[in-house]
This record gives sequence, C-alpha cells and structure tokens, in this order.
Amino acid sequence: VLRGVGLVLGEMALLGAIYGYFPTVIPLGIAVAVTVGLLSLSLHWWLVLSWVQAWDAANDLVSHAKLIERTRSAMHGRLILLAEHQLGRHPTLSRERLSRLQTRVRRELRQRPLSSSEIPRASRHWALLALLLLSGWWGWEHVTDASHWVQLKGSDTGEEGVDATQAAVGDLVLEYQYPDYTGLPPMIVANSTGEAHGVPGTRVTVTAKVADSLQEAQMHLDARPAERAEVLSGNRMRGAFMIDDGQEAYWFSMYNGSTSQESPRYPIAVEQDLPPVVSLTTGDDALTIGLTEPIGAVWKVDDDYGVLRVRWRVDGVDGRRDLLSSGASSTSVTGELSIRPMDLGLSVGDRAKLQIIAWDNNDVAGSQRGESEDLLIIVGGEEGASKHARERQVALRDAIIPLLSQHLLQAWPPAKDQRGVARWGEKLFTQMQPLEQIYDDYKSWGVVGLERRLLDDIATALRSLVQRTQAGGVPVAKGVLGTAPLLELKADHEMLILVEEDALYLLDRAIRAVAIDETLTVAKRMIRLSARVQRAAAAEATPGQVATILSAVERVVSEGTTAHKQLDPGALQSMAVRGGEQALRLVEAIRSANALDDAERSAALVDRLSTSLRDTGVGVSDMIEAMRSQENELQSEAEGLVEALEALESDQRDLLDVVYAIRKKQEDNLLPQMNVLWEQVLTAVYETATQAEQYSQGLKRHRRSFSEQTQADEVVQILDRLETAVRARDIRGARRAVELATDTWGTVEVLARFALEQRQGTTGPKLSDVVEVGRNLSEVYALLARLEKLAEEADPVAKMKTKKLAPQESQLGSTLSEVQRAAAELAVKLPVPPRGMLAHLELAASEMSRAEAAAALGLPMPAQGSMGAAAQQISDALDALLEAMAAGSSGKGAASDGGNSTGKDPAPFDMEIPGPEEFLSAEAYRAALLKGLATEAPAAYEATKNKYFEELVIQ
Amino acid sequence: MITLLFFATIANAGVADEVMQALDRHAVSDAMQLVEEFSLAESASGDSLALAARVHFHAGDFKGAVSLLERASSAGWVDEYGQQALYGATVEATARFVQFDDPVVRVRYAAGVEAVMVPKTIEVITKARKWIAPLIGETPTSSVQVEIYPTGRDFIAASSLPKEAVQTTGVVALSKWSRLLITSPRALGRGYGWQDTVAHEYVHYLVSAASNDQVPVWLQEGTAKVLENRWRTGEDQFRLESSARNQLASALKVGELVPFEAMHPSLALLPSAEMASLAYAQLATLVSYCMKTAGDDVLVQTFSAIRSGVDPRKALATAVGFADFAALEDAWRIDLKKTLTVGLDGAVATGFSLDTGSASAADPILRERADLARWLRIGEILAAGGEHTAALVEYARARSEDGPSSPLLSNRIAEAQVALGNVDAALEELRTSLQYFPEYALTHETMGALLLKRGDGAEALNAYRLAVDLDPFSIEAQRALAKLYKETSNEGAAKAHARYLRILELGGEE
Repeated sequence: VLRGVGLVLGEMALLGAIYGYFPTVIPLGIAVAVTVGLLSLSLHWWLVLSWVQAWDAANDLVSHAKLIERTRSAMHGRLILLAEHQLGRHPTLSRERLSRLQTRVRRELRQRPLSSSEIPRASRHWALLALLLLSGWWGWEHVTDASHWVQLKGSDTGEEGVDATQAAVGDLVLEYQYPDYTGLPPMIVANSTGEAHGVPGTRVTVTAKVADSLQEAQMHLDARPAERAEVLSGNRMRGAFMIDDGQEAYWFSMYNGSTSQESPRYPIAVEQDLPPVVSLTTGDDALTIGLTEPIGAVWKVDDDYGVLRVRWRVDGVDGRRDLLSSGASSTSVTGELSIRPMDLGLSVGDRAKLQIIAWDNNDVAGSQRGESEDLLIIVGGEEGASKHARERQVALRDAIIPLLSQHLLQAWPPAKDQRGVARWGEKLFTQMQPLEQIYDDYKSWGVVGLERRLLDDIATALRSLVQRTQAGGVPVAKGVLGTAPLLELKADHEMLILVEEDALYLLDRAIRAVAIDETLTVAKRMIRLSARVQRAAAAEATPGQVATILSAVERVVSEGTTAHKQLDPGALQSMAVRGGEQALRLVEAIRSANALDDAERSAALVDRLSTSLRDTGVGVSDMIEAMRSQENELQSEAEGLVEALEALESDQRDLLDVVYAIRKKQEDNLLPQMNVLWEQVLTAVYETATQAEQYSQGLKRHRRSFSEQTQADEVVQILDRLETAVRARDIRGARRAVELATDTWGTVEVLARFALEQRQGTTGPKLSDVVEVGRNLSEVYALLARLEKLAEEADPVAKMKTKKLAPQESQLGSTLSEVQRAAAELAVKLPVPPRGMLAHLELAASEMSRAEAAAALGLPMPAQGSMGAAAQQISDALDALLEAMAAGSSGKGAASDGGNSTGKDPAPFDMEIPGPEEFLSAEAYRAALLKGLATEAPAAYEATKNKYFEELVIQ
Repeated sequence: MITLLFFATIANAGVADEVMQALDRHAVSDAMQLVEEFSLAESASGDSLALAARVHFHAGDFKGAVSLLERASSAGWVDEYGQQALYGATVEATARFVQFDDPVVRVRYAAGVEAVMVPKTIEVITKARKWIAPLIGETPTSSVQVEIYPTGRDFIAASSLPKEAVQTTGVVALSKWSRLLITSPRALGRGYGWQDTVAHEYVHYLVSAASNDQVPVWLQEGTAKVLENRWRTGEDQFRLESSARNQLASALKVGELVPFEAMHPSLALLPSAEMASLAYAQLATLVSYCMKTAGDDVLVQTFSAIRSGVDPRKALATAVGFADFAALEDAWRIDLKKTLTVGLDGAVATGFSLDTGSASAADPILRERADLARWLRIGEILAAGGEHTAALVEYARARSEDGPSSPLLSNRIAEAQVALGNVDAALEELRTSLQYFPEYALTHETMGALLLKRGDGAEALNAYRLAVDLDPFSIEAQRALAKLYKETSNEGAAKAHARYLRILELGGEE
C-alpha cells in the first residue's frame, strides 16, 4: 500500500515539475493522471487488499495455486498439480502430461485473465508504473509540442536584415559537372531560372549578366563566407560551387564602385543518391527447399547511378562471396540464386532468413547499401524433410525387421548354462550392427525425433538384456542357470521384442502418414489434370498439346507410385494404384489411336481419361478425408476420456487434502510422542544404511561376486529412499521401502551364504555382517509399525470426520467404474495401445476401495495413503493414455517430428551399447584375465572382470 | 365461382389419390399418365406441382422433380418433409449416372467400373421375376429401376438415411420410391452378397406392389429374408446365418424372444440393435415356417387379404390355417425348438464400414479391434520383409480371444503359410474362415489362387466365381476367371470376364 501511495505521489511530483516548466499545456494531463492514479489506488485498496493478504499469508507455491484455483473452478486442480510438480511432489508426471497441463492452465488464464480483484499486488504496482510511464509520455509529447511552439514564437522576430538593394540579373547559364560515379555527362543549361539541382558532389558553374556596370562580384552560398566571383566582360560574372547536403540557396553580390547590389536568391535542390532498391522474388515469403537444391529465387537491384556489388546475407551475417562485383555503372542488375542451402551453411531442418544486399557506386558520399525483404528458407521443409525422414524411417524399419524376426523365433532358453547365455549376449550384440550403422548416420546428421527416440528405446532394451546375459544371476550349480534368473532374462528379452514391435509399428504409421499426404497431393493433381484433359478435348487440341498432357499424366502417376506402395493394403491403396494404372493404360491407348489416326476413338479415350483421373482423384481425396474424419472422432473420444480422468484425479486429490488436514490435526496432538519415535527410526535407518554401505564396499574390495555386489548396491539405494521417506515423515512410503530393502537383503544373504559356504577361500564381509543389517532392518520395521499404530489411534472427532468422507470416496469409485468402462472400450480402438492404462485404473479402483473402507472405519492415515495411491494410479493411467495418443497421432506428428533435423543435437546421443571387448569369447577373455588379473582394470570393466574371475575360480 | 373452385379441389383430391395409389403399387407409368392427363406439371397449384414432382422422382427424372418442386415452392407449397433437399441430393449423387435399359429392369450406375455389375443385376431381376414374383402376387408388367451407388456417401445422400443409421443398422440397399437403391460392393472394401441384396430389395418392391404398400415392415422383412436367395433356381435355400441362429437359440432357451406385438406396426420401435436383429431372425423363421406349413402360395393369400383390409397378423394366421396369430406363434415356437440348429461357436454378426481406406477398417472383426489390427500390421510388415515365420508369430497374437479370427488375418496367415510351403495349412485356415465369413471376397480369391497353385482348376474356378459374385471389381479374380473359363472352353463366360477385366483396367466400357 505504501509503495502504491509512493508511486502515485512520485507520479504527481513528476507531472507537477513538468507543469511548472510548461504551464500552458499540462493541466489536463495532470488531472487525468492523478484521477486515474487515485482511482487505481482505491480499487487496489478495497478490492485486492483482502486477497493480497491471503496471498501473503500463504507462503508456498501450492497455496498460491490454490488461491488462484479458488477463482477458477474450470482448472480442475491443474495449476495445483503443476505447483506440486514444481516442488517435486509428482516426479512421475510425464512430459506429455506436463505439457498438457501447462497448455490447459495457460488457455484458462488466457480465456479468463486475472481481473483487478484477483491479480497479485506486484501486478498492480506494475500497472501503476505503466500508468506513470504513459502519463510521462503524454506529457513529453506536449513538451515537444511546446518546444516547437516556443521555437515558432521565437521565429517571429524575423531574419537578419539585408540592407543591399536587389539588382537586375539575367542570362543565367548553369554548367553542371557531375561526379564520376554517376556516369552522367556534363550539362549546360542556358537561360536558366537559376535554380541549381544535383547530387552532392555536383559542381555548378553559374554565369550571369547584370544590367549595371560591374566592378567586383562575390558568390554567396547560404551562410558561408562569400567567395570572389570572376568578373567577365560584358557585365557578366561567373561563380562556382559544389552541391552538398543542406545547401539551400546561392546568390551574387555586386559592386559597381559606388553601390552594392545583390542578385535574387537562387534555390539549390540537393538531389539524393538513393540506396539501391533490392528485391528477391519467389512468389512467397517462405521457401521450402532441399539441402542441395538451388534456391532459384530471382534477385534484382536497381540504383539511380549504378550498382557496385551484390551479396547474400543469412540471418544478418553477410556471405563471403559476391553475387556480383563488377563495379560497372549498370543501374539495374538481376540474377538467379543458384546457391544451395548447403552453400549457406545450413542443415536439414534449419530455418534462416535470407536477404540480398547491394551497394551503390557513390564514391562521393560513400557507397550506400540496400537490402531486400527477408525470405524465409526452410531447409528440407515439410516436404523435403518428410522425404528425408521417410528414407530414414524406411531404412530403420528394414533394419529392424530381421532383428525382430530373430528375436521372435528365438528358442527358449537360449542356452543351458551361464556361458551359453553370455555367448548369446555376444550374438545379440553382433545382430545389432546394422542398427549401429544407422545410429552413426543419425549422429552425424544430428537427427532428432521419432527415429532417434525409437533407436534409443531399442538400444536401452538391448543394453539391459545384454547386461543381464553377462551378469548371469544366481547359478544353481556348475553354471547352470536357475529358474528365477531365466525368468528375468526372458522378461528382458520380451521387453526388447516389445520395443522392436512398437518401433516397427510406429515407423510404419509415420511412413504411411507421409504416403497418405503424398497420395492426397497426387490425387489433387489428378483432378486438375482431369480438367486440363477435358479442356484439351473440348478445344480439339493439337497432337502436340495432347502429347504434352499425356506426358503430364504419366509424370503424375509415376510420382504417386512410391507413395502408393507405402500405403496400408486396402481400398485406398487399391483405388490409388488402380486409378494410376487405368490412367497409364488409357494414355497408351490414346497414343495407339493417334498413331492410327483414329480420331474418334482417340476422342472417346481422352474423355475416358479425364473421367478416370477425376474419379480417382475425387475418390482418393474423399477416402482420405473420411479416414481422417474417423481418426478425429477417435481422438475426440480419447480427449473425452482424458478430461474424465483429469477430473477424477482432481476430485481424488481434493478429498486427499481433506483427509490430510484431518490427519495433520490429529498428529499435531500426538506430535511429542511421534517426534520421539521418528527420531529413533531415523537413527536406526542411518545405522543400517552405514552398515549396508560398508558391506557393499567390502564386497567390491574383495572382488566378491558380481551378483552379490549388484544386490547389495540395490539395497543401499533403497535405504537412501527409506531415509528420504523418514525425513519426510511418510510412514507408508517408509514401510514400503523397508519391506523392499528386507526382501532384497534376503537375496544378499542367499548369495553370501553361497559364496562363503560353497567357495573355498572367499574373503571379505562375513555372514554375521549380513545378519546384523537384517536385524536392524527388522528394528526399523518394528518402529514404523509402532508409529503407524500410534497414528491410527484416532481421536473421536478425527474418526467421525473421516467417516463422513466414505460416501464421497464411494462416489468417486462409481465414477471410476464408468471411466474404466469407457477406457476399456477405447483401449481396443486406439491404434497404439495405452500400455498399462487399464491396469493402473484397476489398481486405482482397488486403492479407492481400500480408502473407502478405511474412511468408513474412521482411519485417516490408511485412507490418506490409499487416496494418494489412487490419485497416483489415475495419473499414471492418464500418462499412459496421453502417450498412446501422442504415439497414435504420430501418423502425422511423428512424420513431421521425424523430419526435424536441426543439426544441433539438443541432447547427447548416448547409446550405450557395451563395448566389443566385453563380448570376446569367454575363453579368450578368461585367458586374458588370468594374465591381467594382477593389474587394475578400467572402472567400467571392473564388474565384468570380477564376474569372469569368479567363474574362473569356481571352475 | 365458389362452387367451381370447390369442385376443382375435389377433382384434384381424387387425382391425387389415384396418383398415390399408382405409386404405392409402383405403377409409375400410370401415375405419370395421370400427371400428363390432368396437366399437373402445368398447374398453378403448389400441391399439384409437388405431386407431379413426386411422380417424376419415382420415375427417376430427378432434375425434373427438382424443377417442379421449385415451382411448387414458389406457388406456396410448403416442404414439410425436406423433399427439396432429398431431391437435390439425389440429383447430385446421380449426376454422373448412365443407364442400361432392359425389358424388365433399367440399371442406372455411375459411369465407370460399376458397368461390371450390370449384366448380373439384369440376371438377378429377371430370375427373381420368374421364381419369386409368383410367390408374392402378380408379376409386374413394368420394369423396375435399379440404381447402383458407387460410394457409401452417395448412397446415404440419395437414401435420405442418416450416416449413423446406415453404419449402425448395416443398411446398404433400399427399396423406396419405386426404385431399388444399391450400394456398390466397392464401397465396403471387402465385397458383400449384393446379388441377394438386389433380390431382397426386389422382394420388398414386389410385396409393396402386391399389397398397395399395406404390408407392415415386420412381415416384409421376414418375407424378403426368406425369399432373397430363391432367384437362382427357385428352390428354397433359406438358412439363417450362424450368429442369428445362436442368438435365436439363446433367446428361445431363456424365453426372451421379442414379442411380435413389439414388432408391430414397426420394427423401428424396438429398443436396441440386438433386439432388432433377434426380431429379424424370428420373423424370417416365422415366414419360413408359414411357407413350409401352408405351401408356397401362403404369401399370395396373405398379401391379398391385407390389401383388402384384413389385419396383417390375422391374414397371415388364416392363410397358414390357424384361428389367430397367437396360435400361429405357438406352433412356430414349437417348430423352432425342434428344428433350430445351433450355429458355429462364437459366430458374430458381421458389421461393415463404408468408404474405408484400409483393409483392417473394412474387416468385420478388426474394425472394432485396433489392438488386434496392430499385431496384424506388424505381421504384415514382417511378411513384406520376407520373414514369414516371424509374421506367423505376430499373426497368432492378432487372433481374437473369444471368437473367430478376422478374415483378413486368415488371408494373411494363409499367404504366409503358402510362402513357407504349407499349402494345406493355408487352405485349412481359409476354409475355417469361410465358415464364419462366407461373404468375405478376398478369402475366396486367396482360396482360388491356392487351388490354382495346387493344380485344382475346377475348384479354383468355383472359388474365383464366388469371389467375383461378392466383389466383381477384383482384377485378379476376373483375369483368373477369363483364363480358367477359356481353358474349360466356356467361351461365352471367358469373353464376359475378359470384358469385365477390360472395363476394370480402363475404368469403364470402351
């Protein structure tokens, strides 16, 4: 408020000062500014203050979001979700979801901008400042006017007086000598009015005759000192001057020995040498072109006296080479740009502004530069990039086909023992060589988009599988694999297959989408050609004209052939292909008829050709339109489900907030007891984590089995998460973490027993260390159970309030059932299945059911946990749906996405296929290891080395 | 003067009745004669002009009808039923139509490849006149107009049916306005039994003519279903599809048949598509039972009685020899329990999509199951890359869990099996598929190709023949038939198919 008052006063002071300086023009400005300022302040005071107080009272982002949402019911909790995400409470929100949320919030705010009653205080201050600036500007405008007025008033005093009498002067002859660069010949103007005109640098020699006798003469040029003029015979005089910028008039003064006289003042019109006028013509503001195609635009430069040189400029940077550097005096030059985007240093997918710049040959005032309008160059563009993308996509698809085939037909298990599995891993790696080649190409092209993403996905899945083949898991005896590791291996293998199938399908869709676009283009051209053929038939075109049209038909059909091959088998492909074939047959038949001079048949066939082209063109266009309309309908249906899921999640989170508040209040009452317990848990967790870390380090130091190390590392990571949960006082999260840690530590114990009891000479951490960690984990678990019990001992008020939430949760459950039905129906219709959506919804239903049960019993904590889990499951389902929709629309989206290649890779291309050294045969590697064990291996290979070492020792 | 106007109105009302009656019995030429006799087209009355327009519309003079309606509208006639829009849409949909006149049928079709349907259309109508018309009433003296619409969109425009209704009810043909409107098999992307459909619509036409359009829809539908395939030889070949039999058996078992009262007067009042399909099955078996019990002339008697004003249910019961419809219904129910055989397990009613671009969208199973279509597509990609064994793995995933496999999928499996040298497995796959989807043209065509490959020319010819019966636009099937008929010295058929082939290759007749 004080700042607001200060600003208004400041504004008043400034305007007052201006008023004091220019009293005649300011009063109105002051009145307006002060009135608006005070009104603004009043509004601020009365309407915003309460809101601002609430805003100030709420110290965190989420509360602010809630304040805004309170006035925006249509936001459905999106802003809150975003705020929570910002604070890291929803780390799993997908990129698609996040983007969607942001878009929706932006749209909502755009549609209903924050009004005066809702905007935060800072915005109000900015508004006042803006008002101040506006008033200042307004005042300054008047200041400027006033100055001008003052100047005008001053000019009333008149010019400096001239005492001399005016002489009669005539027979003026003006001789012009133009600067060289203009290329103009000298010119003499007899009987001139005296007015001189020319570009700066033009020398003007003026000869004049006076009526009286003449003794001396001077030439005056504006206010410059006069120069002596040459007195010639016959009462004539001659003076000269050089035209320059700013000159206005010249005149003579004469002296005949007794009196001085002056000639009239002759105006000087300084003609400006204009900079060159440059144009760059393509017919459009943007040019979509391939990387190696000549730009082909026509440039033209016109200048009044001559063009010195012409050059191109890209994004404000001049090219290094001149397009024209003749130095000739030609006033109009033109040319066609034969340079290619590649020559301009551009890459596929780049956008750049191209200009043509030109300099004129003015060597007097200095060469002036003219420039053309910008021409936007889109390298590759929609069409070009699509073409490139399709080539890449086809190449990638063709490379994936044999891989997927091999993986689908892989006998299972791939080997009986660990060694066989390792060899299989090597084989898998070698199978990926073709993909590696494509990967290298992409890297060098800087490709981003669909292909990169799919390739990354395959690489990740492969890496996981290959690593598992090398890690080996827990051998039962003599390297024979146990069931569990085999199942894990199979899961990884199936994941690789799934990823490859996805890739194949999405690539196919992208390729088809481009093919459909191209087919549509060809169809439209067919319709145009049909009309052309019809016109030719009606006008009885000459054989030459008919031949030209027939060639055009062949060309169009040929262009469609490649696209048609990529279409999905079906009526569209059939219609497009057959239409093309029909047209070609008719073209042949027309040629035959013409060759036989059978005009009647030829005319009938031409008519048929026109009909056939039109039918095919219209049929194909209509079919594509119908297909797209169906896709849009499906997309709308999916959008509807997204809305329903968003609303459901929002409602669940609202209820979660309510139960959270109940629980929080209850916990506040129990706070002292709980604090003590939490401290105990934290200490126990810390101790356990330290022990587990030491154990893990010990394993590494003593080069114990790879499996032991990975399992122990995993526990260390889980304990990290446990500590985080404990610090956040998240009982449920902590319990989950400790349960997981206990399970995994069980595996560590099995592995330790195997190592210590069956392998002679095993050193390092002992079994008692393992048992100790296990015992500590049990203690943590017990403490958490006590905490949970304590929290569940709800007071009667909390219990009653929680019970009241049960019907609401039940209602949400019913809504979810409806959403589930819609989701199940939609899931089978979407071209890309929303993987996991139905499972997430199923889990959400279970959690809601639990939440309802807990609420009915008046237990806030489990109710809160289940509600949170339900909301999360709905969110995950939403993510799955959005991803599927994004991938599904990649028919179009992916195609364009895939076509974007910037040459500037936004992210490192980190495909981590394990190096070939890891996949030398086991025997060879073993031999090498025996030699190399004494030396240190690079860190990246340490684990592998240990694994083989372990095997060597066992066998 | 007032008296004169009064008489004029009466006279016009009488003419209007006469015209309408003529149209009801599809005597379009009689109606046209009345229009000319009373100079209705030159009248200043909007109603008279509208009536004349209606007659022109029935006669297939759509432009004339539009012009007359415009004049009628100017004369104050009010277009209460959207006739102007319908007539205009019909003009647009038939703008490129050409016609072929035969003594018994006028076939109108879009200039182009639909020409291949003309001979068969004439054959169907000619044979239907011979074998079916006598079962209904008098054989009509005038020719019937059959219009073949090349796309679903054109059919929808000319039929006045909403697009959604066409998609959900599966209507691809219509007998209305004294004309038969048929959708070309091209529009379905997979063919359909269009010849029986022409016959089906012709039955409606005949029943309507025989009863002055008094027969209710439920009885019409039952009659048309039973008689639709008699045109071939005159023999009763009525048999319900598997899915309908299963539905009927199931409803019969649990006592949930649709009451006939609910079907009368209109089937449109039934609450769901499932009930409607069950009602159709009931009606067909009822009419079949009536004909089986009382002989082939039962319909002639029934329609004659209906024309003379007897209640349709009573008329049917009496013709069959029962006291009332309830008794007939009881007897039918008992017979049904005895004779109804269960259809193939998991058989489903085959829906369709019009004007679809992809084969999977035209497939009766995959059009509802994008998830299965996805596996199929991945298999197709693998097969296109020469990986047929792997393709079979993906195809296996594309099989429906609880019903028959998609016919498109079966074709792809067969192709993969053939590529791997397993011709017998391929044929088995196709045979199974045909049991469920006998109207899927591609399966017959693939079967033909396989049989030909195996050297079984006669069987192959039969398969190809079935394929073109469903989808006469298959260049491959027409080519094969031309060749096979030539090899079997059936020059006439060989020439006919060679001509169809030429039409398809050049996009129309030369």
